[in-house]
Amino acid sequence: MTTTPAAIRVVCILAVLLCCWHCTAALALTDDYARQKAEGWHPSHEDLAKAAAAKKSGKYTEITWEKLIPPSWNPAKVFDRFNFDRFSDDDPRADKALKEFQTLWSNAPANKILGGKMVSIAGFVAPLDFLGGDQMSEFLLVPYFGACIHVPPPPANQIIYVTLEKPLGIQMMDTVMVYGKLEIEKSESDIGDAGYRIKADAVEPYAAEETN
Amino acid sequence: MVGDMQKAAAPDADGAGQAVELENVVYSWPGQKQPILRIPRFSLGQGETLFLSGPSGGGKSTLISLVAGILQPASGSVSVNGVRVDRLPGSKRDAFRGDAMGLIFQQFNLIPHLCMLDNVLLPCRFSSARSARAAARDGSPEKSAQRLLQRLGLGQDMWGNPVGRLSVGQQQRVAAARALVGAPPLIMADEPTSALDADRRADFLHLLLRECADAGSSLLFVSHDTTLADAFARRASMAQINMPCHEE
Amino acid sequence: MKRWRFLLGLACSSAWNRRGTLCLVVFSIALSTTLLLGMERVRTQVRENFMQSVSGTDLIVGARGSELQLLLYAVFHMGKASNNMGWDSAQRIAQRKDVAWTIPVSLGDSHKGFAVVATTTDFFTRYQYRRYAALQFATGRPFEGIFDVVLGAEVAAREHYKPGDRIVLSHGDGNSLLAQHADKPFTVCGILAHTGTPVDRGLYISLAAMEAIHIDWQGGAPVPGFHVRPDQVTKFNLTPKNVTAVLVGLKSRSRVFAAQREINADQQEALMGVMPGVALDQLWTLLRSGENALRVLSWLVTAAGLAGLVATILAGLGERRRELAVLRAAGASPWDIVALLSLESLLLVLAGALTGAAFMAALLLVFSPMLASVYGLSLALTCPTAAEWQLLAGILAAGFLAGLIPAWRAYRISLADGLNAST
Repeated sequence: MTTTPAAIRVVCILAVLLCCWHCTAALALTDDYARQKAEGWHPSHEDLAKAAAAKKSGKYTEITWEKLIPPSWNPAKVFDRFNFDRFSDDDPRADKALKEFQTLWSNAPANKILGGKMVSIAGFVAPLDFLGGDQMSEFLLVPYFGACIHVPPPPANQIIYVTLEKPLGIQMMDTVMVYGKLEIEKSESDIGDAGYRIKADAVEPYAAEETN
Repeated sequence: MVGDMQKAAAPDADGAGQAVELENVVYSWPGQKQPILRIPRFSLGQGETLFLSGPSGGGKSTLISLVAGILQPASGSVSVNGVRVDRLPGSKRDAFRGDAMGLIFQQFNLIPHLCMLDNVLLPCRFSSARSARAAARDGSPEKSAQRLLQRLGLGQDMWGNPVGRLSVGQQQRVAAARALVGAPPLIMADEPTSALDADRRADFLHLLLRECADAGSSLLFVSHDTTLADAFARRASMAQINMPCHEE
Repeated sequence: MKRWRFLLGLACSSAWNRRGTLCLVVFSIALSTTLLLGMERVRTQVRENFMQSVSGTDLIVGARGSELQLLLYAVFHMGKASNNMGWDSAQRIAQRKDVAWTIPVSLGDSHKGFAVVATTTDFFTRYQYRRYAALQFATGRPFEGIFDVVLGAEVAAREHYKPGDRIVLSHGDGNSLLAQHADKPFTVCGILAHTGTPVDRGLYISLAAMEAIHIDWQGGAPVPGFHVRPDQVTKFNLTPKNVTAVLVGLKSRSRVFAAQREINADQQEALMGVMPGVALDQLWTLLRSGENALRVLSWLVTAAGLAGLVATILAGLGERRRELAVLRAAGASPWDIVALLSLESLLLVLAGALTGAAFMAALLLVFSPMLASVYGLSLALTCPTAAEWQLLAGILAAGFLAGLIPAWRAYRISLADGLNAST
């Protein structure tokens, strides 16, 4: 009926340890970094398994961002016509050249060879709709960090519009690896190709192996 | 003198299963070199009642604490009912105290926020053996407590009351009931009547002795009021038992 | 575990006996719990509310200025727009080849604290929220006549309007009762279904109607002597001259960067295009440091409450020394004393935490209608989230740890006193 004081001692010590743990966990909610990590995207087991299966199946060829640019495209050649040394300051022709370059940049064509291929590509996430929690179902994949904040955005053939069947908790500027079939959208206007699109089969967090 | 001492220390020589037995016990307060207690031999028989007198500060309370296992002697042996109390580890001493002893103090014996019945049942909560003995006698520890309270003159209407409003006399009787519940082999009372009026003291003593006899418990009664000594089977004084060495 | 049950009962009885003093301790812990939980709840729900308010919109275009200010004003009806953009710019954007649809919105007037939004009927067909849900009508239809108004669900519910009712709009934020468009009342032609977004808090009229009620106003006040009757408004040209913002949906979502850059570089007017998701994320980053400061403050308040608990119990130990001696005489070990004191502290913290949680729930119940109508926040009384359970557990844990201090003290006291507790 009665428990010995030794048992009481053990229970006390266990309780103390449990409490220390809880305290730190609750305090961790205070720490911004820890909270960000806690609220970041935690892919579920099935999401990770899907991505692992996709990787192993060999159906998807990993591509780099350069492959998305058709080899023939070279917007810089617009400047070949001009000899900038012969321009005076504030020459309107320099601005005109810049505008032409920008137009070309935003109408960059897609590499037709890749249309319909099963690919996997890693990049940064630019959110389209921030539905909060675990509800991002559409985003743009871009090749570098900050493409939507302060750095000039990439050309049209370096942006991939990704849609997901099931919304995931991806956060802005996460790096992810997307597996899916790469489609080239038909444009409804005459401004060149609308761009790349992937209906993702699987998405997983991507850790860059090397930075240089 | 030595003969008196021997007689006071041990009534009969067979000593089989003594309620209390002390041998060569030495105890000094922490930090003091001078021992306050030096007892070569002391025992109390089963069912015996002993009146122990002595001046305040003479070590009576210390003796009780040693027998109860609250304090550890520097050397010597302390046995209660044949169990070497000084040899038991801390937690077992506390458990043994709950099992085998009932204690009554001069005042503030009760837990103010518990009712009368709960106060009496306190030892049963800490000791299953005690609870079992009470149940064996009266059917349940609660019934045992109720019976004792009744016999000590505390009626049923008071049992559920908080003890804060009781008179000192009533409080001491509740303390006695608590010491007696579950019939522990040894009951020790440290000046239990000193806070009572003179005319109440004899009443209380009479009740206590009657219940101890009924339960078969030994009683070690410590007090400086020697007028009560006649009711006891045996009487002794601290001076007879204790021989601390004086460095002179 | 009979001993534990007994010790628990003893702890309860002991605490109840001292309930006068301990009430204050429980109260202070309750307050800090309310603070912590309330902060967490408001934080997450506010965020969710904001995030779910608009979806499917690629850009919000307005006069160049603060991106967040435009977003907050155009979508959430909060604050003011620094500037309006021209109607011809809005037309130009609508005619761009990469644009699928636009919803121009013009704000400025109000009705009983709710914002009046002048827009086109595209608003009812194109606007989406949450997971691309479209707006539905609970009753009625979009505006057709000049003086038709469509109400958001919250407006209709609070003011008990139904189709056919006549209402009067106020100029500006409606603080001055003088600035009413009383001569041109509107008729309710439809009421939207509940969305849980700021859409519920708006009244929707056509852009022409917005022009119509301001024909005989100049610079924020009616022109004395110049009054145009409601039936005369159609004689005037009711094309708007400017709008607050334009919500833009592109044909291809991947072109959003290009479109944004071209709009930002517009030569004819200083415009800017805002990606809603990105702007909102920036808002949260901004707010996060404020949140952190508040959270640290709440924990400090909790620590103060717990310190009060420890101090109160420690102070009470002196009186209880006799009680502890009695327990030891009855067979309690010093560890039983530790357990008893720890249970007491735990019970007090538990009582405080539960009271605090209940108090927060009560506050939510009382204040959520007001928050809904004034700020558009729907703070639902839902089950506690995982984070909130964690916070509660943290408070309990901290309380238990704090309670070990008096428990240890009691242990030392009972060892030192033995049976003779300084009587």
